[in-house]
Amino acid sequence: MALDLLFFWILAGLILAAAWAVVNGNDIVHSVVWLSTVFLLTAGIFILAEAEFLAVIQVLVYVGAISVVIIFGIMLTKRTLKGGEDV
Amino acid sequence: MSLFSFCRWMAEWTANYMLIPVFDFQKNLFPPFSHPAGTIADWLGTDGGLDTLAWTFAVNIAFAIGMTNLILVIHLERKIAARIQDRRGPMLSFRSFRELGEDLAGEAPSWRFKDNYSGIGILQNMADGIKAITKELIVPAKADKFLFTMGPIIFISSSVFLLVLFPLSDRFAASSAPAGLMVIMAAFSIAPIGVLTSGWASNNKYSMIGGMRSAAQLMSYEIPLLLSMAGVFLLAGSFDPVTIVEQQQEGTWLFGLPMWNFIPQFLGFIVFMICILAEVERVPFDLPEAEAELVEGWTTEYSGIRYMLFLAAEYIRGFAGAAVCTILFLGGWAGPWPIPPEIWFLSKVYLILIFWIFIRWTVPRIRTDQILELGWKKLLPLSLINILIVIFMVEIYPYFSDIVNLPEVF
Repeated sequence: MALDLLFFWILAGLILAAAWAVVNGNDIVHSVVWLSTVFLLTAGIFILAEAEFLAVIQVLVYVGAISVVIIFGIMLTKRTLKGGEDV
Repeated sequence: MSLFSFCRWMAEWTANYMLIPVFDFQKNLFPPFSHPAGTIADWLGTDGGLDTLAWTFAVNIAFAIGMTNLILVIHLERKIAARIQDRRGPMLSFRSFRELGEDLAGEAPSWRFKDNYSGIGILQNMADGIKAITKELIVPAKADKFLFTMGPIIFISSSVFLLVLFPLSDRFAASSAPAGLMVIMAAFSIAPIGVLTSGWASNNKYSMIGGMRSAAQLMSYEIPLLLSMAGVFLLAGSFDPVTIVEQQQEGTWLFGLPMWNFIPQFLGFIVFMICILAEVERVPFDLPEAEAELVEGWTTEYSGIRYMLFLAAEYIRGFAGAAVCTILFLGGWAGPWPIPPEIWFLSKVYLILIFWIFIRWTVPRIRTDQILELGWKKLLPLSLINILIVIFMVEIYPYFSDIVNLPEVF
């Protein structure tokens, strides 16, 4: 039981740190990668709550599909390569 | 004896004879630090501590077996590719290592290369690994440093995670999650993020295009893949690999052969095989790294051990994909008695892998516009038809056969 609590607080701290990195990053692609980290760690919280199937679906849907769609949206919009050249 | 009970026995032995004496000795040696050492020794004596240690051993054993198979698969690919191209493939690695040793010791080579061309080439992978480790890890000057290092970590760790998720038989499993196959699919679906980020972070047009193609392909083929798996889940009523394999042994077919899932669900089997080929990015679906048009796609800027680990991770994904296919459609570890079930399972997996290697070296790559058309217009309807057939088998036919007394077919 005490070990569960320890893992919960570790996960909670990591989720909060990753969420802070999402809103505080300079680059929007970094933010999306941190956002997918938040989704992945949330699956860890679900496993601790003994909702294993929910955790699997969380990874499958949020990390596997939604983050990728967001990254797609960002990457398909206009940007310049670092160094100034237009893509 | 199952893998876990063996590992449990090993954990008890390790704790009693190796770990607890060390902690006790440490406690006597450094009295000020006696408290934490004492608690670790106490914890190792409990059930929880021993179980944790046993799971660690089980996961390590499964990982070691998976990595050994990885080396064998790469060697197999090289040899079969060479035979298809009328070559012989790697032949001389043992002798090369021997010559290297003699060279380092300052002796003259004890054999002549021209005298005898026969030999064994299985250490070629080791030579490649040494080469990759000793090369420089180049990071392009204008690349995004953080994501350039994060991309390989995401891709490779999510691939290596696959190795411990599938059971080799009902007694040999490092993971016993009831949602086992969904966990494998979840681990498969993490990879596109790593691919996209490493393609984007390379700051290179071709890497970017390769990453985009890869993510589009992985995402659009995941839908028919999961739908074709849904038929099997519906028939077995479970996500558990052990239950699925047991369910396949129940029905019989011609001559009393067991009716494995690829007979009633032939459509699903075909769709699954095509989709898993796309999911593990092998030819004819290796558009993301099309070396002729995209100079290796999203792995262009990577060098040294990172590139080698990308290649290794793709073979691991192929191995895991073949294992999932075996569990779902080819009856898993079932087979006649004298050969152990683990060997049956691995031989079925290797059969699929050899089939894929033959495809890789004989079939050309398909075009970008064809790949999405195939995924969305052909495979998706076929997998839906497969689900309809399974629903007819499981729900509708038994209902009517109860009323009008039809013969029991399924």
